[in-house]
Amino acid sequence: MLWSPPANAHQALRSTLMRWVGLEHLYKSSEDVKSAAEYVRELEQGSLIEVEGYRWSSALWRDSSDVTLPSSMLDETTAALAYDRPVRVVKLDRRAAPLIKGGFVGYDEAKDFSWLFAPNSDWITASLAAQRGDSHVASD
Amino acid sequence: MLRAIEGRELITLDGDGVLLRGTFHKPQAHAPDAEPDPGTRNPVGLVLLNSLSLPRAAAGDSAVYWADSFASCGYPTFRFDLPGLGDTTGEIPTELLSFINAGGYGPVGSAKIKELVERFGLSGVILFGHCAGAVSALYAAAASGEECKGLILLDPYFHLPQAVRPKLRQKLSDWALQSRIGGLVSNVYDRIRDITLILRGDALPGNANSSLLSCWKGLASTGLPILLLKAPARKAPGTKPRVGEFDYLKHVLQIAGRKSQVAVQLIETADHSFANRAGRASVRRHTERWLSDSFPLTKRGEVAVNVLCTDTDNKKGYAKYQLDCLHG
Repeated sequence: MLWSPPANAHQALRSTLMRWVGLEHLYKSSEDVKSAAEYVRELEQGSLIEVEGYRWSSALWRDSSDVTLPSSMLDETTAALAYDRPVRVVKLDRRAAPLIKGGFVGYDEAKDFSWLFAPNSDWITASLAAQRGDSHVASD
Repeated sequence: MLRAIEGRELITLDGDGVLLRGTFHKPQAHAPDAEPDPGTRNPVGLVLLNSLSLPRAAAGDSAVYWADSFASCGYPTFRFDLPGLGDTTGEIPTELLSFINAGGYGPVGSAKIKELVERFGLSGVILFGHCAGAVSALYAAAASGEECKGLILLDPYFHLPQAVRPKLRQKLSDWALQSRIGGLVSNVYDRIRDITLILRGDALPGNANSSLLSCWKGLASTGLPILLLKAPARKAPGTKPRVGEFDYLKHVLQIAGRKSQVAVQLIETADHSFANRAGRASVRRHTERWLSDSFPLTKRGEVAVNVLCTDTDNKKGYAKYQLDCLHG
């Protein structure tokens, strides 16, 4: 099950960086914070930057573009055929923030995600039941 | 599933029908097969609690870093996920912040401290909490009594913040952060609030968390060792609050009374998350110094029994911070 998977690791890093910059603006005075563009420039010039206590190198930033979602994972039908198992790809909308970008940084609330969890849980149950059914047929 | 790596072990506490999952960071200097020396007793443990909805590793795995550090100094250290958070199952209320601010995790925290002390043969625990975790630590400590030997509080707050700000107010805040004119308007707003604050005198603001303040007073006034670490905040100099905001730190130090042993330290290199490298390292240094002053270990990793009562010299350095806060 994939929830709004990024096309590559670079996208994942970029969204983490944007969130971090947002938090920095919340915690520090404007003269003490850098913009996302400044951080990216530093990375591209070969400097290390710090994000949430971790050091990101320019190599990590550069190579992350090469870590891509397999093309067979882009849609459910192709993925199910390629991996021979049920695959569900869910594109999350803004209601799913903070699972995806959206809402106000630093003001995360505990949200009721029943509307998201319930159908996915049903899908897992149905998929497992279908697999069990298949294996019973095979063993018969 | 892998249940242990070097120096760490996954543990559960399952008393009273609540199964809490956590990680035990084993003290490196501990010698479990040795007999206690005369004048020593069982070790004191450190317990790190969740900060709001963060899992027990905390932002950027900072809690793992601190727990490893304290354990390497010889203190058994535990990180737990409270019910509904991280690996511990349970329902959490939608209004998690309000639940925490009302002491929602106090009873389970207290029960689990007792269970932990019994199971690991500890003399007691020092609770470590950040932000909302500091609020839970105070409530749990107040409910625990004898088992809680100290508190380490990172950026605790003593008011009742709104869990979700109205959208208009949030947009105004964003505007004030991002635009020059917005910044000027924000400064004027701060000054108006400051005048209101002066007119009100020492009276607590309407959104003060009175039950939490009561817990604090009950704990601090008995002389419980407390280390309070503070990160610089936006538009706030040192340990002082932003212009127009009530000085809760000054207030809590005043109500702590003369017997109190509250040490306050500003971590200038940290942001509120304390997860940045310089900030987390500074938290580690100050906490280890405070631990060694307030809960010194013998060679074998046990807390010397009489030192807590008799060694007053070590408290002088930290008492200075308290005075700085009161008079600064």
